[in-house]
Amino acid sequence: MTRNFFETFNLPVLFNIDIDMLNHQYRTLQKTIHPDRFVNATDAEKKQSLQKSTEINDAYQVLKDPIKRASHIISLHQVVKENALPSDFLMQQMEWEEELETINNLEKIQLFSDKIEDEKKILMELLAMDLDEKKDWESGTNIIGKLKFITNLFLRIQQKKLSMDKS
Amino acid sequence: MALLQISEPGKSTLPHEHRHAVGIDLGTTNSLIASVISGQASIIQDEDNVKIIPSIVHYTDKELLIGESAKKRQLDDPKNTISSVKRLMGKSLSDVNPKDFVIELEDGDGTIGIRTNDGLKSPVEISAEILRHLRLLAEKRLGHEIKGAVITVPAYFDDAQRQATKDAAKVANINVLRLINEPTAAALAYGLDKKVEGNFVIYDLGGGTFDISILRLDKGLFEVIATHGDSSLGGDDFDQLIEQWIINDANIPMEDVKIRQRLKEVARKTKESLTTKSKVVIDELEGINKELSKEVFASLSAHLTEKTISCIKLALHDANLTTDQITGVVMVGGSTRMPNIQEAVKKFFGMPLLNNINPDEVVALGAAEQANMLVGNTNHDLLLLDVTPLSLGIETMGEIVERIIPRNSTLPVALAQEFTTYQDGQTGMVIHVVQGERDLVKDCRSLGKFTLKGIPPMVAGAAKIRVTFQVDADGLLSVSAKELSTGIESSIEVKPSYGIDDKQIKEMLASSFSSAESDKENRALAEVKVEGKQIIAMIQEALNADKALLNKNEIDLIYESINELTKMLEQEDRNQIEQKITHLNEVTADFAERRMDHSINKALAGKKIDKLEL
Repeated sequence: MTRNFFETFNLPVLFNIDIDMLNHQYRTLQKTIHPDRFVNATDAEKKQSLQKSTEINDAYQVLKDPIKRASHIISLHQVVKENALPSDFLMQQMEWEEELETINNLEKIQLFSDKIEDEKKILMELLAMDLDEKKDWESGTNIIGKLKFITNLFLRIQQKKLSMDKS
Repeated sequence: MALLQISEPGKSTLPHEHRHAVGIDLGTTNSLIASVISGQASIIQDEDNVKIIPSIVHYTDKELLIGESAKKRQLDDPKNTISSVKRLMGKSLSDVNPKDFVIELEDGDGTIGIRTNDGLKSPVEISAEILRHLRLLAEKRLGHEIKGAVITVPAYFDDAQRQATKDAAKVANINVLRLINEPTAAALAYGLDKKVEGNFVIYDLGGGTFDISILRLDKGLFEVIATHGDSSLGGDDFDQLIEQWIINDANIPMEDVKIRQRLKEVARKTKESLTTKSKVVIDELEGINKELSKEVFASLSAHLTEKTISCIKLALHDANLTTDQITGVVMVGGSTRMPNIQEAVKKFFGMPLLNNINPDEVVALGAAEQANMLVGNTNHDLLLLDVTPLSLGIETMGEIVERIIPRNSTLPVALAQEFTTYQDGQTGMVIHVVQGERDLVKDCRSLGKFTLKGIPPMVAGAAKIRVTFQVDADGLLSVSAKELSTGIESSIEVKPSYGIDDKQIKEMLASSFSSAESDKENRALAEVKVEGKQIIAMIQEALNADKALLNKNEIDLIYESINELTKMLEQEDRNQIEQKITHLNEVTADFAERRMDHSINKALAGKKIDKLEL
């Protein structure tokens, strides 16, 4: 059974999470159980504190990150798998790769970066709908696959931008 | 029914006496010890009212000198006078270039051995001498035994270096409350935790290391969000540039150890003079008469300054921040006194720097404040959350590193990984753990090989061994393993190949007791008795508060264990007392867990009400 990280923070299982509330609960919990609070405690308490504090950090890392959060929600309902991406998206991937390869000025790369960011926003909204309203785990899994690619692409765009900025 | 009083676990309300705790800055060049005295962190001075203790140990067959007195022997007996030992902590001989050292190094079974007239010494032992010197100094000045210490390490220290530091403290008979990163300590000294919110950069250039940390302060949470640095860049490198510049075109017999030492000293003094003067004449060495100006020095060292700025950029990138999102920049470490450094950093951030606390003292002062808080002398709402400075990975096929815990993960952190056997009947397995950001094993720092033994013999691929890598709040790694198909846990033995084991530490500790701390067995017995009394008091208190979480049977079991320990405390058998303490810890494990869950639920519930009231 997968542990439910939302329960850790007493939050409803939702993709559109209340981030302020998550941060708030995380702080409250760490202030209560972090090993720094148990320096003068018994060994049994120290061990517990280390374990719980580790679990809370782990849960926080997952819920903080939208893609990990989405995967976690799906894992609460079915065995997680990686679906093959649809062929039209594969075509799209190749086009984007080519575009990134050929771009050679800052203005163009900014435009490209904006385009990919917009794409990401649209996918995030679709994902929220799939997970929070339609409960369509299959479609959700597909969007996560696309988002993983886009996140990686976005990172490479930023790197190229940085190196172009320098030269 | 009477109302139950429920206190939070850990927040001890034992009859409270002030616990004496110290902060120790165990530096490459100098070390300092500080304590919070009457609410104010201050550096503890030695009998000559000196605050800064050189991190130098001098060994002869007759005497042991530490600090200033050892430093005086550096010129006439350089081989037995050990300085900058911090650079050797947690390293093996292959990690260093022996030619860089005046002292004689040799391979000491995975660590480094330093040959002295008093025999072979390890970096841990030498650091322990410095730490013990500091502890005795503080105990004498404060008139009390030290309950615990926070020791600072460079943020960029890897696991082996942190472990070596903690081992040295054990050998010096110091209870380590926490290892904290030097930059974080500095931030605490500036009281950033109390006053403001925002993102802060800590620029720490010491004698031998450079660290950049970015900290976020938000509602009582003091979070390290990114660290970067260079563990072999420091003031010494600037000295070396001056040395090179001095001997350029001059004929100096570099094979003469004494002349090399002398040259080193002249270079360092020249650098220090240049912080206030615009030029310095160098004529203390035979055949040399040169003048070094501030400008020439700045251009000589421009590449080093630039290197530190590049590190800042990388840290900002990791933290996903730009310079205009930075609220303040704290300067730490004696080397930040160099005007060219100050100017470069000021220019990069476009704001005045926080540098009004003595950069030599700031780390020890911050460590003292943290120590004071950890032992429970102050009760404010602050929590410090640190991160792993380097990624942790394991070696897989083709000498490729598989990353298991990424850098900048909030501590404590753990990750589990499953392994299987590749031969029928295989009962052992070696897991090679490395630290670093590169993809190939050879480009990372090897932390050593963990050997798993006692896997039940099965056909290849049938065993499922779950190995958990845990990094605790000190940033130290421990590894545990469990065979899943049979559930065998205890018989799987995990042994790291690096560092020293508890037995060696005990031996070092025993052999190092001075006559003032005579009769080690009596001392050990006394200590274990104190520990026994403390644990009884703590559990008694927990029972008073949260008895409701247990049934009668469980309460009886705990009392039975307490009674056994109480009886044993009246006798003089250390082993038996230790066993009873372990037993009491075991029978209260469930209770500890329930109390922890209880306070978690209370914390979450309390906050939900807050939210509703908003």
